[in-house]
Amino acid sequence: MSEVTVRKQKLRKSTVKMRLIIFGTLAVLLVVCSFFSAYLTPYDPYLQNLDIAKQAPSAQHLLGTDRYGRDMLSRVIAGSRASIFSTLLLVAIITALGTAVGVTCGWVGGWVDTVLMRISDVFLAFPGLVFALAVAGSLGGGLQNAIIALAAISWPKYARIARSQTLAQKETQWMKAVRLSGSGTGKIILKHILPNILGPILVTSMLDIGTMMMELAALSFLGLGAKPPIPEWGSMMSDTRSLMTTSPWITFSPGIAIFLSVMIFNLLGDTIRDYADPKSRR
Amino acid sequence: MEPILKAENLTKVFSRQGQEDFTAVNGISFELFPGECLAIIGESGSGKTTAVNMISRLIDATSGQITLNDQDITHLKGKALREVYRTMQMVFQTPTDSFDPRRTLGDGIGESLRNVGVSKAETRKKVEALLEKCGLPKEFARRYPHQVSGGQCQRAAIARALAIEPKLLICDEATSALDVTVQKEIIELLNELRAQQGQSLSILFICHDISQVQQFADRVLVMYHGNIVEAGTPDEVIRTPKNDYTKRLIDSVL
Amino acid sequence: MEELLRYEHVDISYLGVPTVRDVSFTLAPGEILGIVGESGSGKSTLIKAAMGLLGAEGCVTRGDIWYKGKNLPDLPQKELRKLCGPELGYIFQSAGSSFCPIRTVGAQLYETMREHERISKADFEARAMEMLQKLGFENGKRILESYPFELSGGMQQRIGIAAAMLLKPSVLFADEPTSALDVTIQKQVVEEMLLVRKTFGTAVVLVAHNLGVIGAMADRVLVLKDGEAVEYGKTQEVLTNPQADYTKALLAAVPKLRR
Repeated sequence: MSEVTVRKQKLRKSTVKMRLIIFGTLAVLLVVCSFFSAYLTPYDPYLQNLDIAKQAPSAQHLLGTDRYGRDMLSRVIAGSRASIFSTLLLVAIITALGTAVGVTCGWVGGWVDTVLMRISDVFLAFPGLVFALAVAGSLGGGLQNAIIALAAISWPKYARIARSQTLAQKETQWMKAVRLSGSGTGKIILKHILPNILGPILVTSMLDIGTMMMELAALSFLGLGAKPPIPEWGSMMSDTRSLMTTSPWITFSPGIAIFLSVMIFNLLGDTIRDYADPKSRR
Repeated sequence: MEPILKAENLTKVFSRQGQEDFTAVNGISFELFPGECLAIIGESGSGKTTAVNMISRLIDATSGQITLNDQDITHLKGKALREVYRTMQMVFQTPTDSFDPRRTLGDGIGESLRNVGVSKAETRKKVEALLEKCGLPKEFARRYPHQVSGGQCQRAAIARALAIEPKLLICDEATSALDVTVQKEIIELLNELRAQQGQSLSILFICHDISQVQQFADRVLVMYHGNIVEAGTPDEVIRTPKNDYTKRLIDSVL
Repeated sequence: MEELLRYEHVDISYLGVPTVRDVSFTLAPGEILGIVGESGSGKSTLIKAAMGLLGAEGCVTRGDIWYKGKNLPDLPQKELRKLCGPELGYIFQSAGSSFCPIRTVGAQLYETMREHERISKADFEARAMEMLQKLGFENGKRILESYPFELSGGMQQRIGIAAAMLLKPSVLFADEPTSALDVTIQKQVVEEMLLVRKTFGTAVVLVAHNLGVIGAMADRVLVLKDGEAVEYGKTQEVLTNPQADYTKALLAAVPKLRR
């Protein structure tokens, strides 16, 4: 046979599955740690011991001790319960609430759609954190009220996404076929609309975990979140601002914890979005 | 014999913001008899799809009357309309977009049965029988729409339409998005089903290619700009067209 | 006459899976070649390979595509880009969606021309109007000022052809240009392409699933089944005396109007 050129195809292996496993595992570890934090702390996070106050990181106290002699590592681990658990609860609430409102608007349309969307516009019109401060402030501080405040300003985003997704699904050709099968509204929404719109909504939720964690920490930092002595990363950073130059480990430990957690959830969110994209070869 | 489907002065006017009202369908009337196959031929924009959407009650008619099986269905909604869908079913143009992408073909085919109270086990058996009837292996009940070809998907769509044993099957450009070889197969399948079911199945076949229906349809209606401009058997319309537009239509086919 | 395009023992794979196997054919200047096959036969893949439109997942794993002495799969991107447009033109299946919906047709055609030559707006308008007139459009100015959605499907397709022809390529690849259209418009598009060949001497490679469309236009026919060539020859011979069983089946599937 005469000379026929042969070329090899360069195939780049998709890293999506591997990344999903890595970040998924890390995220699960974080969540598990936050649930079982009580059993994971090497020392009692509330135990004060002024003799060993403000000690730099050492073999016995990996992250040093704070101004009251409490072990920083234990404080950070204990703080994960408030920070992570509350964040997840917050995200779950806004996703559920926003989706419910959005799907109703999209499916029913008419004046229900107009009224609900105008209400969500009102919430969107307020500058986020300022409004949350106002609500949290008027309800009194505390983690529970901080969650309520942040939920109040964050649900409209999900409502909009769910609404436009629902409208898109309503117009598809297969939706006509479903209507001709005689399926009623409830069945259509539960069996057909929700499974098709949850993808983009869940990805938004995942990516929002990081943001919500920061906002919760910010509220706590400003004194409207968890009240001492309950360890919470944001308030821990706020209380120890003055010690930043002299005993940096006290302020930075919770700060780094926030940074790492937010990063892990963000990377997980990105990876889930890539995984859900049919064009990325998996 | 009473017609299974009767359209009288069916009209659809779309009102658009900032523009004149657009009359998509302009008072058309026709009858479809049991066991008959009636083809509606028209180009894009002729109003044929709008007409069919009104008949299947996916949209409301502006005026006129639609009678199905001696029942006036023009203004039906909700539960009453869902009852009507036991008599009338539809196969759509884009096969791969005919099923919920997140559910199996079996789920889609059996949905109409589950909605009228048929048990899961009974539904599964019926779905398998329907798949075989439409030339697909039983395993396809577990496949997803993106896992099968366009032609296979369309066969599954026909299986779904037949599940509830309707008297009227509407095919809205059901072959237009398929390769010619597959188009032929689908029309052969529809012919087989007609032969099997005789008077109990009537077909309303919408398409833009009159050559496809010459052997297949009993009667043909030609639509142009929302009006029916010609009616007759396929041979009459093709060989002795009376209307100018029909003549142009026949001439412009390759 | 020297051949313009030559495919030699071409194999194409998508993500490691062979899609086209050992296909060879030639194209002479001014010739219309029809490639016919069902969905999945590899016909679109075959012509995409020439213009480098296979994407990262596709690769010509074996064989050569010769165009005027250059081997297309091995050309660096920069050089291939210079050929795409002025030498090799491409028409998509649904021309309407290959246009940007928020800009006028004229603006987009101007942009395409500017990529390949320095030309003033006035010159472009003159050339565009001339081209549109030659290709049978009645109101060229109105078309240039329209947005794609304001034109009918058939019109969009014909403008897709005009757009490709603006740069006067020697070869025009047409990927199922009539499949998304009504039968009546199909005829218009077929006539348009014959006019292109008659006026400019452009060679055309036409891909379709309907042997009837090919029969109305092509000088030679290549029949593809599952990525392999099963028949190749002059259109008249293939249509009146098909050798392969598959070709016979394709012929039988074409709906013919019995007048």
